[in-house]
Amino acid sequence: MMQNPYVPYKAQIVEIRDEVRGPRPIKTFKMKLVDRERFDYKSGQGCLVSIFGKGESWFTIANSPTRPDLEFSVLKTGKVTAKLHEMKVGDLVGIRGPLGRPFPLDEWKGMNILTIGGGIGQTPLRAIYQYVIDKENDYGDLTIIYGARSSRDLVYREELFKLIEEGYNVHLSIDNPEPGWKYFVGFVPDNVKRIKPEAKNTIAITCGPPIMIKITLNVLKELGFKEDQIYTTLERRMKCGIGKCGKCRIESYYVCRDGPVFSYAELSSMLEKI
Amino acid sequence: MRTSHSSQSLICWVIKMIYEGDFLKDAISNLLARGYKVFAPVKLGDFHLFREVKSAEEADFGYILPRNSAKIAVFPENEVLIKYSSWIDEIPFEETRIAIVGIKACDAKAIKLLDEHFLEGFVDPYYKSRREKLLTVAITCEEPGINCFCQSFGINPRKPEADVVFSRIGGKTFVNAYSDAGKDFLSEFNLRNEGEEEARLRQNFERETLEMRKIEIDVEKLKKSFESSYWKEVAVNCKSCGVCTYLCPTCFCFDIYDEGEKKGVRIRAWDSCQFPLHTLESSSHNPRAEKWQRLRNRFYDKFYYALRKGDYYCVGCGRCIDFCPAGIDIVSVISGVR
Ligand code: SF4
Ligand code: SF4
Ligand code: FES
Repeated sequence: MMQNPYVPYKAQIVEIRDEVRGPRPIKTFKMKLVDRERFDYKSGQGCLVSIFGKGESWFTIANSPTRPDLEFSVLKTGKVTAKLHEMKVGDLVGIRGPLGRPFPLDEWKGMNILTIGGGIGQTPLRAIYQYVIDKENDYGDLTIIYGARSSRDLVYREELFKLIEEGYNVHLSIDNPEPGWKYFVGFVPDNVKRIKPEAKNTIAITCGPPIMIKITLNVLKELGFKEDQIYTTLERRMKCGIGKCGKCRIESYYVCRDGPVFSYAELSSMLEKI
Repeated sequence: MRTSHSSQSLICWVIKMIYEGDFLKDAISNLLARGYKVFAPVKLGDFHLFREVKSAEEADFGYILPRNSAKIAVFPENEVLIKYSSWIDEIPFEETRIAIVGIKACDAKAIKLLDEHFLEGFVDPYYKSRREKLLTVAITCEEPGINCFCQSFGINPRKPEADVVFSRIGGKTFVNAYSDAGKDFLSEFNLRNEGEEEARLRQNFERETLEMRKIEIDVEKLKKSFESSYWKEVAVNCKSCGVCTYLCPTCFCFDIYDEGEKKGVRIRAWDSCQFPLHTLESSSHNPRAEKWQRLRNRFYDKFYYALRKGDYYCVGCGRCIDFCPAGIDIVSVISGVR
């Protein structure tokens, strides 16, 4: 981490992919650090992307450290993200990071990995499944369950279709029927119920809208998952990213520094409920 | 750097001296002459505020506690983190040495708590640049204020944790140094050692317990009462104004924002957990949307969550009681948890 943790590194946008169009667009930005090669990070960690004059915004790094790129998937919501969506390849931004506590992927060696995602919540999960795919000898079975409102709202669509072709265990869903859709129609937790993943020796990581997470949690418990087998990432308003400004605090934890990754065992021991 | 300021217990020598003259004013003049930035209480009508002073005359020491806390010397209400145009132009840092003259035991303890927050884990370089150049000249309390309860936290208002401590006892001026920096500073003055009788006088003064309010903290009960309707009752008249957090010497929350589109400054400024925007997320979800949740957060923050670090984040200064427009009284709220 940099000397002055408030000062960003300079980075250049080297590729932009449209993931989702429409009123709530999502773009994935591939970035390259300008003054240094790259930094070491782990799946689950995030960065604050900085645009002087607009501010900073937190994004979980969207790809695994085993891949060469640094990617962020950005849903257009506020000042910083709106500006990012206007930017072009070659433009400069600032990056502060890597920040936060990653997924304990080393502790999960030898276990089955189950990711359950909804919408843009797939971002941190992508950093996991890419990692597990790249280190497949270290892990058991990989199961990817992912859904969105419609097929046009699926982030990393092409990549996921390709994984299906290659024989990976990927289960996609959309909320409502669409002509030509070959996969499950319904909500993500219902898809989990249908697939009935085995709880034994499995870690489940679920990220997505709060309501999806809530129901998924119940489904997982019915399937025999214990709270310490289930992980998620928390979303909080973040400013400093280093546990100083107090914005992201929940109980005595700073989500930016002690999270964003938490196990349900940790979350349920807190007084303040998510 | 913390040791030079915070470990008075490790220092076996203490300089105990008597000064003939107006020590506090002379201290300010001396510090100013040597280029220090000096923060001292300034009288404004019927109250005092800690402010930067440019002359000893501006300061006035006829108070129990200034309305704001001395934390402004190390953690100003706002400060520039980065000056930018298309990219970073400048990163300003505090270069000057800083002194607080007239700090009391509660605020001095609060700075130790801020140290824990800003210097542990990631070091906050802006805080550090001030803190390591800070000299504290404290005043002991003769009488407590009506809402003081510092003794509840083991703070001795007659023995502040500071580099230099000033006391007025029996018409005499006692000055003690508790750190190398304090000792160096006192070497600037004409002092004489205290006599035996004076030493006794001072020790008795230091040992005396003051008659003041007391807070009863029952952590187990706090844990059980988190979901209690008590917090809604407590917050009924809260205005979410944030006065309590702004005046609090241990509150450290801040916001960061950019001012200026093409050219400007990235600023950090105090923020308050009592404001609904504090935790509002871009997805429009707000984990503490209700004012009672925010007020409850403040109390749990100080007396429950902070315990993981080993301290209560309250020093019993009573400011939040004195100035809450809704009369919310932290001593009765915490002592009466149910
Ligand atoms: S407790 Fe009092 S001082 Fe604090 S926000 Fe509420 S009304 Fe304002
Ligand atoms: S909580 Fe209130 S009494 Fe305690 S230190 Fe802060 S302002 Fe003073
Ligand atoms: S974002 Fe500042 S404490 Fe987490």
